[in-house]
Amino acid sequence: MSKAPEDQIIRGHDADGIEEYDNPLPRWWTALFLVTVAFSAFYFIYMHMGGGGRSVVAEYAAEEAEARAARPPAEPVVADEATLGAAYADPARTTAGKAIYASRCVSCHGAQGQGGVGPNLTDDSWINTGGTLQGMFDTIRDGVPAKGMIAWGAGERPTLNRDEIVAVTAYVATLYGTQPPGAKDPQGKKTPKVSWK
Amino acid sequence: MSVRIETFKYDDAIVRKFAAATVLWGIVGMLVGVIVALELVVPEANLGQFWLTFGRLRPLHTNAVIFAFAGNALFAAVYYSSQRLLKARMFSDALSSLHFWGWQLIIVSAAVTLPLGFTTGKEYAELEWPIDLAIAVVWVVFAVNFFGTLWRRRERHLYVAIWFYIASIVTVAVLHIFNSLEVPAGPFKSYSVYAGAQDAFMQWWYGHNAVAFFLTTPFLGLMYYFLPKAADRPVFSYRLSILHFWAIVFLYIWAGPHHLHYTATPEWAATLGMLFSLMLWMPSWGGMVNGLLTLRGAWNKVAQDPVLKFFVAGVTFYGLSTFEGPLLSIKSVNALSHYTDWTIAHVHGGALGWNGLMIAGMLYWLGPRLFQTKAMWSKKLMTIHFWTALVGLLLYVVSMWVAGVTQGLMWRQFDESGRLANPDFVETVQQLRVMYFVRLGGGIVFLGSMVLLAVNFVMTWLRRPAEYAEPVYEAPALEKVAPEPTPVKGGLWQRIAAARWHRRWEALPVTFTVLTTVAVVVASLFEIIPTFLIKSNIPTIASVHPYTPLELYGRDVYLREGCYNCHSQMVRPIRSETERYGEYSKAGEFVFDHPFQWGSRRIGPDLHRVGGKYNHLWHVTHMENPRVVPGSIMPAYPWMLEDPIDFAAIPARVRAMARIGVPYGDAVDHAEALAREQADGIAREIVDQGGPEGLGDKDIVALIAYLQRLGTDIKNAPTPASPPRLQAAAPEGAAGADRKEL
Repeated sequence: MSKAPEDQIIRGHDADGIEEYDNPLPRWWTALFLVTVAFSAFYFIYMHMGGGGRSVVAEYAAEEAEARAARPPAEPVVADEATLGAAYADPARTTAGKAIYASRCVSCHGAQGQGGVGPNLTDDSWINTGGTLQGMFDTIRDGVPAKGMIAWGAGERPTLNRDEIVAVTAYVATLYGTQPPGAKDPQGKKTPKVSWK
Repeated sequence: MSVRIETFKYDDAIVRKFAAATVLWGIVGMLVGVIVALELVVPEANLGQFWLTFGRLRPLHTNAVIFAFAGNALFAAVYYSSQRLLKARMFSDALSSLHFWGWQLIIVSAAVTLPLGFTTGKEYAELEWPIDLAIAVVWVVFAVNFFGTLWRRRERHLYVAIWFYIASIVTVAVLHIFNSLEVPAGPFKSYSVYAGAQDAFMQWWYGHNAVAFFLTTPFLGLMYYFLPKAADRPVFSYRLSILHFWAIVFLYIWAGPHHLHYTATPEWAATLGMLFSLMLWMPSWGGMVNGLLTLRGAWNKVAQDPVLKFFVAGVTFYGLSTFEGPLLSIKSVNALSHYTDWTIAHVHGGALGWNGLMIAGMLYWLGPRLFQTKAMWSKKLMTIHFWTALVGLLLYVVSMWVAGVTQGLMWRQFDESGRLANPDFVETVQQLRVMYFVRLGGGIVFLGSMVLLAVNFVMTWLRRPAEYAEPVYEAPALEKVAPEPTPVKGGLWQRIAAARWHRRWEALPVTFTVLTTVAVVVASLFEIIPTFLIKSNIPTIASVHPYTPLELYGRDVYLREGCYNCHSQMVRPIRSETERYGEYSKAGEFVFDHPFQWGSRRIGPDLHRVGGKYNHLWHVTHMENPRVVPGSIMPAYPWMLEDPIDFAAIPARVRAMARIGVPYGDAVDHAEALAREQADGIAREIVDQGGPEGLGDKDIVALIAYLQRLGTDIKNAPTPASPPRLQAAAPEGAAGADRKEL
């Protein structure tokens, strides 16, 4: 605060009984105000009048490039029937798959795989996978864009990595034959006997 | 020179009306606030009624609290204090009455039309064109009444409260008229004449300055009258009043674009928004300093008088909000805070802390004077109100700070493999549930404190005399010539610093009003002219086309349901955003968006790149029951599968769009047929995907048409031979981010 104000009432200032002191502006107030004005002038020149400040978009592009360079090379998203079979038999993997299923798959295939927007995953009719673990893995990875199924493991930056798709494939396989309530009618080709072990 | 003594009476009946309306609408507005807060924790709380859904009630809440609660309060303050500060009755009792009833009619029509889905889709300016016209008329009535009173005044000089009232009345008129320019497409349907980035600019020029000139400057005027009155102390510094008044009037106008950081707004404008916000910090604090230091030597009174308690807390919250505002306007802080509940914390600190507490203090001071009783009915209840309000306010603001920072950090968090740590948006929503419950509790407590005010107010009113006394006052008529201010001894600097030159302006209301208007308009034009005239601000993208008639109708469904209250359509050039949503949004993508729908809060995820992300059937299922996404708090919209598309309304809408320059060409003549054809196609695809039959003429199909179109035009851009301007808009490395999230 500035030095103790004098508290001089200004003569003639009487607004419905309200008087006013002739106190000066507090010094800290004036100083901070001038600092913000000076900073603003400096910052505007720095950013927009050739001062060398980088635009938001340039900043973003640089960060994106840096992140791209730092990223480990994408591992190929492939798995063979044997790997998938082993995962199916491994409770740790199917539990991991269940968590991914709960966040990624339920909105189309239902909480228990009964189907909804997407097909029922518990019966023995298959549209795209032919009833094999390999087929399921490939379908999850590449999606079925024409029908609205997302390609979870394709492209430069896949949403799910290889291990995650293996786990979710293994979990989906455990749903087979569970007969949940409200199951969607079978779609696709019936494959009578499914054996994954 | 003979001095004529005139006699006059003040009109307190009109102040009583505005004060009562303040209490009533305050409770209504906050009750709606509590309902929408409840809906965020229990989505079923809308009871499956379309008119009770969050997207329709939230605008009602904001409009009611701002324009009905704070509005009526500022009118009460202006009508009570101006008459006394000018020693004159209001210019015309008829105009006063017209102003009061007109404004209440506007509020009631807002309360009816907003839940029914009549909306322009622009935040805090949602009311449709007939009501916009009514607002303009009533505001002019207010202005004529106020300036007429100035003209008939018996006090030579205008006190600082009057300066703030003048600035508010002039600027609100300018803001309302220019932001609401819209072309009607039916009795309660219109489109903003501005599109995309320009509409966004106008909207936040308006939105920010509605905060400034509706919720700040009139309330500073209120403070300058009621606080020294209640404390019976002189104002701390006349010179500070002058400087912070002119600084606020000139600087506030520029700051609007700070609501548009990292968006497709030109960056120079965003920078100006940030810098003028920083420069506003001290001018705003000038008001706080002048308020709090006026109480020097009166702190013993604060301990005893609940009115002063409200004023001290109110002014302190003003100081807090006007520190937080500049902080949030810093680009890098805003990158975290924008679209989160931090903004919600900020506005409630201002609206409840500053406006709410100042209004309560004013009403308690006015109560005995308006109702001509010795005191308010219960002083104890006033004190209980104060502490309850404070507890409610702190619960509210602190929970929203925590929620905002939590969600902001979760959105931007990457894991060690370089992927988003919380790829599912709904995870970040679930994390906030506890805070949403605390917020609901805080809101209920604050609403409860308002009920205490109402009880006290009514009980005081019941004790009024059988007939109100109308004291007669005397004052000399104003002389034709203003007396010269006392000269100041000393050099040029002393004379400027003593601010006696300003005293001359205070005696010249016309000059004063013109200077204020010039300050506001010049500051506006500095930003508006370049925004509209410099072509490079909005680089054209050749592959962006107007919405089809059905998509346009679907967009209107999106507006009607108030989707923009929870969903943004603006992917910022920030890595965690392009990772989550896809390529960042470009200004050229929005040139046919009348109005823009960038949003200001992400209670749900951004939708700008939602086009093509899910199939039609997913949208049908999701609208019918959003809980197919576990943990979602979105309301269900089952009626969209039943309500028919009003095909007959489509041609008028397409024509209205064509009138404001959207190149529809021949489509204007075949709008309905085109819409039917597209709707049939989508309905067939839904059936192909295994969905229900018979949706071809339902709202859901129009909405899906719009959603599937969103943000997709840019993907059809001809990459090899794109014009140089387009390349400038999309620097290297910016493009190509595919949709990553579910």
